[in-house]
Amino acid sequence: MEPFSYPNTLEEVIGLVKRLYQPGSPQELSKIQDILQTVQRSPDGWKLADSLLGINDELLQFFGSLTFTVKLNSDSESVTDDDIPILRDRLIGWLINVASTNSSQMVIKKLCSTSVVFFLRFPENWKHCVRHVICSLCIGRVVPVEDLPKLPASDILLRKADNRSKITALWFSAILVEEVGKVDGKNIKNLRFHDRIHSNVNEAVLLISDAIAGSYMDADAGNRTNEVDTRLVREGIKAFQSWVFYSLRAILDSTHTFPELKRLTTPILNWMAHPEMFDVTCEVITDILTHYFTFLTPADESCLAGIITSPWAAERYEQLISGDGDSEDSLQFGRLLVAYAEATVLKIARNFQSPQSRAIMKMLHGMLGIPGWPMADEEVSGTTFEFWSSFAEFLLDPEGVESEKLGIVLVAGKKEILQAIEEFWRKIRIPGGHRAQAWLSWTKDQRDGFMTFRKDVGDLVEVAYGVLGAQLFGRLVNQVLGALSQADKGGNIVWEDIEASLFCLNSLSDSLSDEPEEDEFLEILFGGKLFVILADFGNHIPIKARQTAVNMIGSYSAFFERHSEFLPTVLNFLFISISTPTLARNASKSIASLCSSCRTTLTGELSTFLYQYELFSATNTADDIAKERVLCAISYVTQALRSDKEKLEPVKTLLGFVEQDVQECFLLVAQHHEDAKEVALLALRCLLSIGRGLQVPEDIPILLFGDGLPQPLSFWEQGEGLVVQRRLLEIVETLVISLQEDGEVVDAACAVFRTGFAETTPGPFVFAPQVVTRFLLERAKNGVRIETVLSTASTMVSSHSTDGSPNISAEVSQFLDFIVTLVERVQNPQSDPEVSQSVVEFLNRMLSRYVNVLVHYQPSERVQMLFGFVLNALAVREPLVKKAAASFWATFVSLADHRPEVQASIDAVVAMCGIALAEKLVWGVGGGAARSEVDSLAEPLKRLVARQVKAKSWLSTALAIEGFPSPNLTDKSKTRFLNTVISLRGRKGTNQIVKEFWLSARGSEFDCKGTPPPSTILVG
Amino acid sequence: MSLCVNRLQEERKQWRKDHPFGFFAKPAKSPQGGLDLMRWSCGVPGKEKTIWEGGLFKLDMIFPDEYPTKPPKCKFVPPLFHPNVYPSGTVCLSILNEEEGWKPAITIKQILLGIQDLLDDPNPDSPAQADAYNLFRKDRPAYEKKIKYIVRENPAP
Repeated sequence: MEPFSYPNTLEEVIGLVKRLYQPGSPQELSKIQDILQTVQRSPDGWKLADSLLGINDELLQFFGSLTFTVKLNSDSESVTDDDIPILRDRLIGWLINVASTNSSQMVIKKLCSTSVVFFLRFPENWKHCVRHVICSLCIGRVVPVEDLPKLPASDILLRKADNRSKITALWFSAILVEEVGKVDGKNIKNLRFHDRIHSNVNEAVLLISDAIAGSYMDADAGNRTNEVDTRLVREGIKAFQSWVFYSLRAILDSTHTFPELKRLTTPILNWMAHPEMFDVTCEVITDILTHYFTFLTPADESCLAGIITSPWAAERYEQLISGDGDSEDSLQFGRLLVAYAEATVLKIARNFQSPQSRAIMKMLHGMLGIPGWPMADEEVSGTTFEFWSSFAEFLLDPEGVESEKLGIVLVAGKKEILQAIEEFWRKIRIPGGHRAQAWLSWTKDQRDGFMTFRKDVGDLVEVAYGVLGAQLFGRLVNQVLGALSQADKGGNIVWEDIEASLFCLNSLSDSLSDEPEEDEFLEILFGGKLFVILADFGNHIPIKARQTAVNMIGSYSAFFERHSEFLPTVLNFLFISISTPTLARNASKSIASLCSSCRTTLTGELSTFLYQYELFSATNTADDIAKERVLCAISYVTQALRSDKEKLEPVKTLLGFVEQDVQECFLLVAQHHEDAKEVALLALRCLLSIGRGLQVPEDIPILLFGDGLPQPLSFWEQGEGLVVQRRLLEIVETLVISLQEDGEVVDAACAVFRTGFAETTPGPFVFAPQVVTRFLLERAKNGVRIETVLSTASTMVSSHSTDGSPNISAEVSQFLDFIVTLVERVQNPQSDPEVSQSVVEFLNRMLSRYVNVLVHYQPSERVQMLFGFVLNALAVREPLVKKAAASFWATFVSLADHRPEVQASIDAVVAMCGIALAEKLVWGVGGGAARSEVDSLAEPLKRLVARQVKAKSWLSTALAIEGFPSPNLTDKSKTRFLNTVISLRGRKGTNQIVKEFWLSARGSEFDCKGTPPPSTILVG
Repeated sequence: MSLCVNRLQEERKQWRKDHPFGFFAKPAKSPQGGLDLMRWSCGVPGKEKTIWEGGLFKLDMIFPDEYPTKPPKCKFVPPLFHPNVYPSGTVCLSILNEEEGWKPAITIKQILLGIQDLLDDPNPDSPAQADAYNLFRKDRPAYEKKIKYIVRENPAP
């Protein structure tokens, strides 16, 4: 790489600039750039800029202009008050120069933006910048500011100016508002820019008005302006766009709007039909319609309506819907049409009979008929959703229609919506038959796009249903029946059509009322031959149609609750479908949905279901998720059997299925450990599904035994029932042991036990607490997934803390033994956060019913150590551990036990821990914890203050430590904090005080972690 | 019309006009059969080329009366196995926190895209549930296996 040194002459700078724009290695170019930036920023920068602009070379002039920008941005303070006007006039001078010579567009635009940077630096020194630029460019020399008022009006000057100067002025005016628009308008300091712009708007209007003068209606009208500089007009329209959008932003930011601009709209609209002006005009008008409709005056709007329904537009429209023709122009026209329709939807809907409304509606329908697959090779139909949805919503709540016209408007509107749905319906048909190739050739994006379109149509159908009700429903069902009847006439069934209708019906399943009139249609649909054909000839029917049919059954499970007579046919179809891999998951989901809702009516079918499952699970391709779901489904039905005795056989059969997997696991485990593990996990997930399926639904009332009363042994705890429970337990235990206590297997095993915890009545999965405890402790002692084991135990404790549940003090005590030993080993909660969190969580769960087990634990030194551990947990860097500890202490300090001896022990613990607890809390809220943790730490603080008389003294002891919790806090602020917190007595305002305390403790170094945590409390 | 309702209607309009592939978002049905603008049903697809690809996860967006001054609450239904999702299903994400990154200008589309990003890029500094967080930290292969299973359970249509 050649060395580059700092240039000493203009020639050397020129050499570097030229080198910069030639190919070279990135390192080389970045080195040159660094050097040139240094030169630009140097005191010689101003002079350099001037010199470069004087050389007739595009790159050098561009770089010269850039140098002015760099100086203005980095060094504007060095410009003296006297020099400001000189600098301004120098820039205008260069602008005239480049506009009048053959300089390129790039240089002129760059100089315009440099001049705008000057304006942003010195707005007070360039109040009438647009007028100043216009006058100077028109006259061909820099006009002194004081002469501006004396000169003729700008429109007069512009008449004689050349187009190059006019375009330069237009660029300047456009860049001016674009750049000022980027300035943060919410900052009050920046309002001055907007004020300045306001005083320039009239000049801009004159400038644009001059550029777009002359008009173009259409060729046939014969008033075509022949001698038009299309470049000038285009730039005029673009400048208009910039100004309009600046004023739109201005509405949001301040009170400035520019009504002056409005007089340009109609003249601009009249350029729409000019072939070379169509794109720019269409773009600006579409933008205004979309974002700023109120900018249009009634006159503009009627002018636009006239254009959109003119013969010229009709030609564009024909091109658009033919699906070919000049594509970008047609699409743009389509966007304009949609934007207009969206903006005036209420007007169209209310004045339905007007020729204009009719014409626009006709075009909107036409847009849904453009050939091609939506989003894959046709982009227009998908842009109309918003229009049709708003139209339908208007019909739901037709405001602003005279009462005598209401009937007509509604009838006509419904007709339109129904027609649109039919048009969309054609669009969502999935390419099938000879067109199936199309689907296969699509990219993923095209397929996703098409599927998203279908989903959007589904949403629209739902909105339309609100208006059309059963009429729409009937129409869709009849479509299906019609398509099926083709077979009777010897024709082919068009499954793509049926699929599209079923898809639409699917999106309506949530919309039906409790006893809908649509049931009669559903009866025809589900009672007809559709699902018989689907079941019998599935292999000849497109997979997508079967899939949608499968989904439909699941979505209408509420119907089958009302009409169980249709269940056998559809369930037969679903059970056949689960053997087809691509349908298995959806079919099993629908089976589960039906079996859950219709469980009581299906009990007679249990043996058939079990048989069907046996057939299915014997196939090699049986999908695992489908297996789980079907087992769960069969268990729902089993649960609905009236007596436990009746449940026995089906449960045994279900376990038998799982045992087949267990056998497979045993066969594999020696040689193929990983495969065996997957089979074991599947078996455990199947058990989990059975357990969930057997749970009593929430809406069934349960019988409670009295608290602590000895409960008679349930069916599942003796005789044949107990045999089943033992079998179940054995499956779980042998799997865990065969897989050598693998973590994932332990997780899955624990999940099986959890299904029983939620139960309030006995069942095969509701094990005696001592059985679960033995299993869990066994796992815990092996040291794998202790956190899962403890969190399972926590759930067990909670489920045995409710009224009427058996007391499990003995088991809780066994867990506590384990925990104490564990904590002795872990010592610092930071060293194993997952385990620490589960330990604290377990202790937490003990507090509602088993606090006595905790506070009376012997020997007491060991339990003291445990409390020390939970205190230390308040100051670890682990959010979940800290949160659990905060919640523990919040509960603990406010415990009130009715047993005096228990309360005395609780009080003793609080007295022992008080000072340390206060210190940990002060440290946390005093900047030690993260900001997001402050609220959880405020809880124990609030409870401490509200419930403990010594709270104030503990807290003041902690706060009295020099420099604690943060050196940023003065004694005064600490005292104020203490007094406020105490006086609030735990009320809600405490959180705010605590947050402020945290903020001042962190001080300016917001990110620092504050002081180190208070000394760790020694344990053991 | 209140600011909140106004804004939600505008959001709905913008969504219908343009929304990212694979997502859905619409006001839920109110018990009376109408629409409840204050509660939206949404779907977030897993991102391509991540372990979440192919999944679609449903969530409810619940808007407070103070929206857009205050952020909506986003809640996966059913709760999702993810380090930054609370056991209740509520998503923990800075842009959804009034005291952190929420700004009234954030659109529903941006929220849903933000949640999609979060799926494969959990924030270990803000754990919200122990199960997913522990597995994510302690046994990444098991975590990824579990996610892939969840994706298969919740496939995109």
